[in-house]
Amino acid sequence: MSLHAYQKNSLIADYLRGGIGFAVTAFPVVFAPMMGTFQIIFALISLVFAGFLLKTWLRAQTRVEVADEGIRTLGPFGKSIAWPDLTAMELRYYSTQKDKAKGWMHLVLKGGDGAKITIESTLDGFDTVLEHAAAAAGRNGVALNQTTTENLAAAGVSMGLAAGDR
Amino acid sequence: MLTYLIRRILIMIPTLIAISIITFVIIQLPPGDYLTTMINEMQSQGENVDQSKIEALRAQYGLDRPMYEQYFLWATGLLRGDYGYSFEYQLPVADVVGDRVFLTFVLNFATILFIWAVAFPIGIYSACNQYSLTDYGLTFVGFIGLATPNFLLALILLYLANIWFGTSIGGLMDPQYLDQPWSMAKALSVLEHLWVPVVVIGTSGTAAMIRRLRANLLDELQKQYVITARAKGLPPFRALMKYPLRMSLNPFIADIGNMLPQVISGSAVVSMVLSLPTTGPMLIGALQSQDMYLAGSFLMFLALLTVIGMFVSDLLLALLDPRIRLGGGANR
Repeated sequence: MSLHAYQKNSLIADYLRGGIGFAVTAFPVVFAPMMGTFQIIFALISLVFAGFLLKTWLRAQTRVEVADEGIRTLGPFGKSIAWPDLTAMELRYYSTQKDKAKGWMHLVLKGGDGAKITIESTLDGFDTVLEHAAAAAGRNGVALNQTTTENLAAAGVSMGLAAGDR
Repeated sequence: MLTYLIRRILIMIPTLIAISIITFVIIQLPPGDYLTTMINEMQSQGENVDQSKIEALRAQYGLDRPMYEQYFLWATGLLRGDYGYSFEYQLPVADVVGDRVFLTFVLNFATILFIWAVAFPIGIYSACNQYSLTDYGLTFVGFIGLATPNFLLALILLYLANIWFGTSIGGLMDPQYLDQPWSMAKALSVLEHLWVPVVVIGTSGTAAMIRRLRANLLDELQKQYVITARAKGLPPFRALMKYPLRMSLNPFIADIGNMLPQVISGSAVVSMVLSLPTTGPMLIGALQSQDMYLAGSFLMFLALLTVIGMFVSDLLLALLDPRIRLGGGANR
């Protein structure tokens, strides 16, 4: 069993992103005279930044526990999925650069009871989580879309092999 | 996806600020200002120029202030909906522009829809029937469209409409609706006139898009997963729609950002030929006469459209194809 948390550096960077974005968009709404349409647009964008700040705080509070039996998130809105119950897995990759460099991954796991766990690659030990999830998906015969298959291959993870067998 | 959205918005904010600064500096770069141009014109016509009046006007329009101060006033004014004052028309920019921004948006949106509506089925057909007679025919038509300058096509259509139908197809509405408030009859008149500039501006874009979609779809159709899907008996239509088409749609979406400024800048010349009441001809006039606030507002509008177009296309691409590009250096 292993316990993982999100990297401090990435959390600080996200707090900064959310804080700067919120300040830049909320400040003019409150203090600067603006046209009505712009006011609505800026207010909506500032809400998105506020949501991101909340999400970052939730990530900071979350710990991910990976064991041979399953995966569990500890903290607010904690959930668990036993590996034999894993019914869906999706691995996406995002990057804001044109050459798709310096991006990050987004792993979504779904259990039979509707439980859904979302993990970003800034989690310490993301590789371990990915290997366990891919092995479970392989064992359970989970159908993966082409994007997930290609991203797993690019990440060097094979399906159907238990983490310890690799 | 929220993280992606946030990072993308954070890129947009400094981009727009940088564009606004660059736009303002470029407008100010030519020596002199609007008043200098006006004085030169008056002197060339032999008229006397009262220097004290000119100085008073310069002070009134804020042209005697430092550039950064002028920029700050203009930029904050944009947020308040005050786009500045047009020296040439002696009116606020918002009043001068009137319906032009809206009509430009309608024209360019219709053009993009036209490009997609035509390129999409032809591109798919050409890829699925490679080297057939129809494929060659459509490719030929596509190349003709690509090779014909827009303004030439506009002139040919104007000539043909005049010779064959005895009508003028210039303008975006019948003359009696110009400067009139919006009504159903005016909207219908716009729709009636819209097809000509849409076809003229859209033809070259359509041809390019057909070629790109055809090439991308051909690449996908030759991949192993498509062969496997066919070998396992998946109906050809489903085997086409399920993944290959989805993957080959990337250039469609990636082009939204590039297409907006291309279509708008391309439509400026066509707008002059077809006498369209869009932003293009007015922008060119404003740049020639150094009507800085009018030109600056137009350029900011174009930049804003470009940045929003890129933003939308990047979001759609991230939704549609969140894959690693090998060699892209994924940071895990």
